[in-house]
Amino acid sequence: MRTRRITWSRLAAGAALLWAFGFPLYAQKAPKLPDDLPAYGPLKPYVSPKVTASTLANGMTVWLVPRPGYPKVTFALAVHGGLASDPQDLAGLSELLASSVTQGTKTRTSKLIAEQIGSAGGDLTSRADEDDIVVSVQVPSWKIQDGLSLLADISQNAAFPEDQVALIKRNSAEELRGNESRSIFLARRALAKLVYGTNPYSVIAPTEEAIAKMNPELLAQAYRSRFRPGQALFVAVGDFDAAQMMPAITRAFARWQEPPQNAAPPIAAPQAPTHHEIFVVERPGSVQTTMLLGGIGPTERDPQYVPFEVSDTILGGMSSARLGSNIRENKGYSYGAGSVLQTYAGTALLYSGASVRNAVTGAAFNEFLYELNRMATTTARPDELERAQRHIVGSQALQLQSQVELTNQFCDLWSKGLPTDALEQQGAEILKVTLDDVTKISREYFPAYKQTIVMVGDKKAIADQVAAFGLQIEPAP
Amino acid sequence: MSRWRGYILLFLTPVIAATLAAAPHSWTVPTAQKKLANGLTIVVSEDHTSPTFGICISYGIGYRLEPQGRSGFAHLFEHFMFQGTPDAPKGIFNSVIDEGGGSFNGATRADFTEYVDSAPISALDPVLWLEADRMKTLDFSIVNLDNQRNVVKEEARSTMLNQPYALFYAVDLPQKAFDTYPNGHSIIGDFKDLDAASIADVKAFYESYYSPNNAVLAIAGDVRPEEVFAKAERYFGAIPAVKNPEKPDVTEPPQTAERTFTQEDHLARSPALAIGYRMPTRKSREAITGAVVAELLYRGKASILYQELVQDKKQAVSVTGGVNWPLGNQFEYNGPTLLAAFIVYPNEVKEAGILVSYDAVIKRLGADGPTASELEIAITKIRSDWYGQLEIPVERAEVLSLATLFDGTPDMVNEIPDDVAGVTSADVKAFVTKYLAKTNRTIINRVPASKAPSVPGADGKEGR
Repeated sequence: MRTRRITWSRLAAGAALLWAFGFPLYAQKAPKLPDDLPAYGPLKPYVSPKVTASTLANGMTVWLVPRPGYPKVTFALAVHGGLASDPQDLAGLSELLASSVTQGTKTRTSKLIAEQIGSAGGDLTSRADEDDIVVSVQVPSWKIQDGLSLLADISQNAAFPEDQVALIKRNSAEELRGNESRSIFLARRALAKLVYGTNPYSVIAPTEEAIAKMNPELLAQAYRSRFRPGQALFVAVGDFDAAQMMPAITRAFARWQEPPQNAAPPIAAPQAPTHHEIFVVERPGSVQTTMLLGGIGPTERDPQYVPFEVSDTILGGMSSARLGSNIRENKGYSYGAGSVLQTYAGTALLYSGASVRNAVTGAAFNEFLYELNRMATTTARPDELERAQRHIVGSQALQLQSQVELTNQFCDLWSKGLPTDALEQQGAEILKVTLDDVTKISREYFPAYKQTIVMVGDKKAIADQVAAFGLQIEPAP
Repeated sequence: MSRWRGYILLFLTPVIAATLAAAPHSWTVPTAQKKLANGLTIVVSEDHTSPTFGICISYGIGYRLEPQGRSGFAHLFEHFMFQGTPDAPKGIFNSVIDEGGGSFNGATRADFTEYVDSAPISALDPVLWLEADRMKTLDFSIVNLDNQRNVVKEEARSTMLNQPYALFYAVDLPQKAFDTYPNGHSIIGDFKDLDAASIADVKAFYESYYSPNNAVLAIAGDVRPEEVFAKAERYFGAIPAVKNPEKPDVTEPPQTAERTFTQEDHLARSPALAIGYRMPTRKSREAITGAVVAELLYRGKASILYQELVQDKKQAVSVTGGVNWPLGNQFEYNGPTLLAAFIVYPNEVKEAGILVSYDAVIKRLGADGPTASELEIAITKIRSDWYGQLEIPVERAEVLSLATLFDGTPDMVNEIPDDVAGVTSADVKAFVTKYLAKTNRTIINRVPASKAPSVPGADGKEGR
């Protein structure tokens, strides 16, 4: 489900390692509760704010989600076509498109945009993920019109000024170099390449060659074919009056027309890979080994998805999950070990992993194999299931406290073709999952031999310690 | 630059905006406060937007006051708080909050250590019970201490040592900018100091500082104040107060000359500068001005240095910074702190070149002050961000808890927006001239290792 999904931009922000595996603490078994500890109140599934959906004459979908109180409004415009839709020789085009689309329109320079957003006390962000590009603006509720005008202008009139594109190219190249110095990025990039092979979901970031090829005309071309009302969602969440908002949106986007060229086709479903080697990304002098073991899971539209998410939560998706209790808390091998579930419109990627000090690379790897196979061959305890269910439902309520997160989640539902009330539905479905469901799904997805393995670190440290496992060591692609 | 377009937009805006509801231009967060007989202060902010709550218990002890030879201890101790108690052995705390659908964390900063929990409202009672339980006593086991020593070291490797730049603008910069141990040493500490920490140290630290009269409990979310006060009395009321050690004087001898250093970085691909200025006392008018100056110079794409160094001169890749940054915000400290900046620049740019441009910006700001529009943007942004951190219940609880820990009341939460709005161009000029002087600053230039010449200073231990 979206609540556990992370976008590439978050990883690139450098918080990845902490976010992905930085769980604070762990417990191994369900311990006996203290006698005088008060009981929980009843668990309530998430109640989603109501969405009013409509379509403008030009085909743009509009979702309005009024939520009074906190005095801000978040607007987001999502368009179909992200990293997985980029041409092969322009890998990562979407990231540069997302960065440059906010840097100037026919009537606003980059500096004027920054000043206007600043004087409105707002935030303007844009991001590309595998399936979409999303531009969003958050403004105080007394600056609604400023936010709306700006977003409407960016959606229709982006200008890709030469100097801004040059700057973004340079910064993207720098960012790529920065990312390449981080082991979690190297691990994620190698894992996506290995798991997805020739499928477009294999690309998670631009390449140096592709960045060098980008120019204003290529970006403007991609912009014209992707930013089109018939392939766009406009969401507003926050402290506003829906009856007054709708005419303002209609006016701001009325002149946006569908372009003549066809929209990009959907991405073909990827095939599950079979790799039985350990793929190593050499990082000389590394004091840690970052290891990931991952594979393809069901999409969110698949009925298998909900039990899959619950099973993953038992394995590594919460702080008292099996991976963390074993590898961090009991063995002290890592600051954090866990699993990450990333879902896209056409696929889902689940990986377990940790960064561990060199000396315990082999020992930690052994524990990952053990925990994955334990999921696949034994049945979870009822208290593990209940804890995972409460955790998923509760953390969803916590995540959706934030207006920006709630807006992101609505974009994500739309991106994946899920209904507007899916946030609420999935919460209810999580509570219906049984131990049998968990056992069945874990048998299919979690056996260690089905995982693609990537290690980033000092090859000498890795090779010596994993020799005992009898797996061939190959350089990662 | 086509500034006139902005004016056209201003003329158009009111016509359209007339159809949209006029909303209030400020926002007041409700607060209610009570002190228990044992000295524990309770602050509540009622908000029924989500069926959730956030709690923050802050204790008036941070790494500034940890003893010499025990650097890193306050942070190690924070980990120890999650290792169980006689009544709730290791694992209970985590599994109860996890199972309740919540999340928890702790943070150690110079002047406080805080423990935060977020959860659906159904978990309020168990969470309060658990927090009270670990305010009574802990499981002082050497196994737990040894284990957390390793975890803390892994944390240092993951977040610092194995990362490009190793947070040098947060860890190394204060060490160079300050002269005394309390203000200069790092949060993570020396590994050998961590190894030297004993169970006796852990116990003494806990008994000295972790008492109700040295703590503030704040809760925000789907709760009513009277309900929280009653529950706090029930769970925390019987914990005895303790006489805490006197706070030592942590004043710094004045800085009289600029300090410059060069360091090598084995993981970074691009060089970077950390620049730090010593700040005036918290909550003074000068300190509020400092927050505005930080916003003007370092924060966001509208900031002066971003526009000058990244956009116009293309001498830098990124500019970020702030007061008491990045390990805290511009209003949450209670002793000497820095106005710090972190600037990454391309390999082909020279440090001297970027500093010439940087100095010119500072000089101009000191002489002319900000433009009206620059000042408005900075003030609006700080106010908007201030409201922003009051959205999520646990973050609001943090703000309330820390304000009350430092000031005895949570009123700062509703005062900051007005204080910031009162900063003038003259305040900015005076602040820049006095505090952004070269004699008040420390610079570290951190360069990729392969490109660094092997000269004295390259190890970061000596000045150039």
